[in-house]
Amino acid sequence: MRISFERTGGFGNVPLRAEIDTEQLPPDRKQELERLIEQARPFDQPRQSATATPDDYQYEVKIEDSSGAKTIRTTDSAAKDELKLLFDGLGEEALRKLRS
Amino acid sequence: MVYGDGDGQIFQRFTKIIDVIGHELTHGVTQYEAGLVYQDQPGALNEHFSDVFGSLVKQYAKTQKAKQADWLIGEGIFTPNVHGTALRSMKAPGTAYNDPVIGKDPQPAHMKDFVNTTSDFGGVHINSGIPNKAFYELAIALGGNAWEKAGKIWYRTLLDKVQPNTQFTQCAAMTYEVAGTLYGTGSTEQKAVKASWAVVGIAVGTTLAAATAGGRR
Repeated sequence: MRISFERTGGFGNVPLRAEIDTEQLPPDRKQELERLIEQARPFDQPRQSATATPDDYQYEVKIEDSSGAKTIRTTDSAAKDELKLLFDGLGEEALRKLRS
Repeated sequence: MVYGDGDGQIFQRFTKIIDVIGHELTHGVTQYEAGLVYQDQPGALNEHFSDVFGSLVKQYAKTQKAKQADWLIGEGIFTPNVHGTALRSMKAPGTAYNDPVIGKDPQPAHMKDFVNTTSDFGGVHINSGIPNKAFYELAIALGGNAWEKAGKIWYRTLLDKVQPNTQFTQCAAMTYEVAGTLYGTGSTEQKAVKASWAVVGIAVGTTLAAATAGGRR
């Protein structure tokens, strides 16, 4: 599974972007990300949130697997808790890649 | 309105910096007085007004004149891991940080460098550098305490003129009109407003039509 992750906005608007290939991750982190995706069901909600709260985070996440590619764009305020957990997990992976 | 506790890796706690508090509270004023849409140019103006009054709160608290102020937004917000002094600079947009991990401050200081993007709600924290620079130029030109004249022009503009979809050029025309109302047509203050917007590539003062058409009262 390939994931393109982007987080922009927030008070500082320091963008956090990463291309994550779960096949390249250690087994425990691959499993954890897949669990978060399964739990969040990111594509069962509106693709584009209408909410725009000042200094909110804006997320754009594209997930590609054998069945195709889908993209979700939403904000921290609009996302349900399970989706926020997924964004946190992807954000940690992105930071890890940046620092490596 | 979102503050945030920081992540400990890039950012420290956002609530410890006075201009951040002023910035966030200004979003409340903007929401109720102007209702600026948080997207593209109106969103960048929304961010701009918050940076202006955030900075003025800091200058007022430190009793600093315009020339003494650092005009930084979020000074000291970064952890020691990051190479940068602040998140944004109103005096020199694009120079607040330059770090091998998080990158460089992306703010432009002139319309020729305007950034078209879908990220960050259409670059609201990016293109705000353009009006931020114009305000800084005005405050320096007028001298003294920035909140007394430059801040007053901007505050009356936000309260009386700005509308949900106001664009940069319209906002500039509105500040020019307000400066004329407050200090007189052709006054030093009004001329300084025009000159300050010219520094960032926005021409005003040739017609008041945009401001008049955009005014609410």
